[in-house]
Amino acid sequence: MKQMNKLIVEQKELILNNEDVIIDKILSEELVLQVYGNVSCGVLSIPSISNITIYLHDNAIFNIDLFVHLNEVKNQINIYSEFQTKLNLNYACTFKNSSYLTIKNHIKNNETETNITVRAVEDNGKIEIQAEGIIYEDTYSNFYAEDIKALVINNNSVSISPNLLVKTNAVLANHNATISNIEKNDLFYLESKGLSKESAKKVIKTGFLKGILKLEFLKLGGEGNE
Amino acid sequence: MLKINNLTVKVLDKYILKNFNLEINEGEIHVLMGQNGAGKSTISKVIMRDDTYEVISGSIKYNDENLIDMSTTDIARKGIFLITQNPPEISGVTNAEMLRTSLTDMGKNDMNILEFNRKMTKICDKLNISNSFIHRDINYNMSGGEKKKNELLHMWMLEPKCIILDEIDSGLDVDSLKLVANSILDYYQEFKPSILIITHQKSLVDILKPNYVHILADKKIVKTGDYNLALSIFENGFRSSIMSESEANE
Ligand SMILES: Nc1ncnc2c1ncn2[C@@H]1O[C@H](COP(=O)(O)OP(=O)(O)O)[C@@H](O)[C@H]1O
Ligand SMILES: [Mg+2]
Repeated sequence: MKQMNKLIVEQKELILNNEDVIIDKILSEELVLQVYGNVSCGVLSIPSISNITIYLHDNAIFNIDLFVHLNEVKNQINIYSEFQTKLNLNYACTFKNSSYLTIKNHIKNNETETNITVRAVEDNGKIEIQAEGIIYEDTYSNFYAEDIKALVINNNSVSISPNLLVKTNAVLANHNATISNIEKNDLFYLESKGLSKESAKKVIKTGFLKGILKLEFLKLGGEGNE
Repeated sequence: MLKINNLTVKVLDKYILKNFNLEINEGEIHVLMGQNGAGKSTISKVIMRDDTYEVISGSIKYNDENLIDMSTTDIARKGIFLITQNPPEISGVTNAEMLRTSLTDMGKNDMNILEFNRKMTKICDKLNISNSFIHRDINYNMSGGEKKKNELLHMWMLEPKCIILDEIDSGLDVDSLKLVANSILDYYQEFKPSILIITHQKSLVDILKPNYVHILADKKIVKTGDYNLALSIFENGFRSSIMSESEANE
């Protein structure tokens, strides 16, 4: 594994150029990430109001894993993808009380690939998740995919609105959203192997979140910034 | 050791077992046979207190404690271990993580990571599965046969005293079946547990040489015998074996 720089980000703009970084904490409410080349980034904590803008410059490949605990958080992520860029955004969160997550993609250029994956686990609270893909007219050869799943105690605690605004036919786009409870059968299974109910629930939830993360470093860590 | 007395069980308003009786003593191997839908898997899960199944009356005693009042976790910690007919896939949770959590929760984790891995590796070798199984998600993307071996990996790590195997032979090719049966036999010889095997497979019965063979029909055990009863079932089917062993053998 490459040595990673661990950052606490107070500034409003960060230039990422062919590097791997772990952001321990974002402190600024507004943050612009300018991405050049091949970049991997992990984010472990965001402030309660967090507007993140991601600019993917021509040919950039950006893998970003977020592993955060949302407690009364409003997080908005705006993404602008330039020519031949590739984005893998994996967002794993637990949520408590009332939080909002909005991910907006503006695809005005061609030959881009976007994969948005969100996993949210309820920790007594609710969340509104909006994922919006806007694919502009006269663009072509873009690929756009959203995959959003929530694991909840109460089915009313999550509202997911995947929104695709496609102004061209020359795009491959799909989205998929599910809300489910912990499988009773899975709980029984783990308890029958000697795990307490609490441990069983915990490993299932953690597994659900960590399953989407690509950065090994994050997987070893705890549950978000708890 | 395990004593089931007049057990009556319902699922969604339907009686599956009525006045079911079975006693398994320490170190005994019992085979339970019966037609599809007879209730074999039901009894295996009721013992572990899967709350899908409603116990109406009767008792399940394990060393004089009534399991009916216990949680699944506590029953597992008493040393009872079930391999279900269709083990679920738990993505995101690795074998190692689950086993370490379990052993720690039970206060039985006296191994450091190195010893733990060494033990896992040894068992993987014996089961003829790759060491990568240690860190694979539980049963996730595994073939039917690999799942059964993966479950045996759990058994060897947790070292239970009473084992229930529900159609462990299903989904296994001939070689894997032999390996699995011999692994169970090795475990038996090392730990002398009580074993309840639910199976339709002659070769498994041949290798494990049960002390008793039972037929489940009409919601209870209707006939108990020895190895010869199993032979009669394999040759003549359930109906004639229930009517009379001697007739069926003619
Ligand atoms: N969870 C369940 N919900 C509804 N019916 C069930 C459930 N489990 C078992 N049954 C029913 O109980 C009967 C016995 O099933 P099972 O114990 O799986 O039989 P076997 O293992 O002997 O083939 C069947 O009629 C089956 O449909
Ligand atoms: Mg069955």
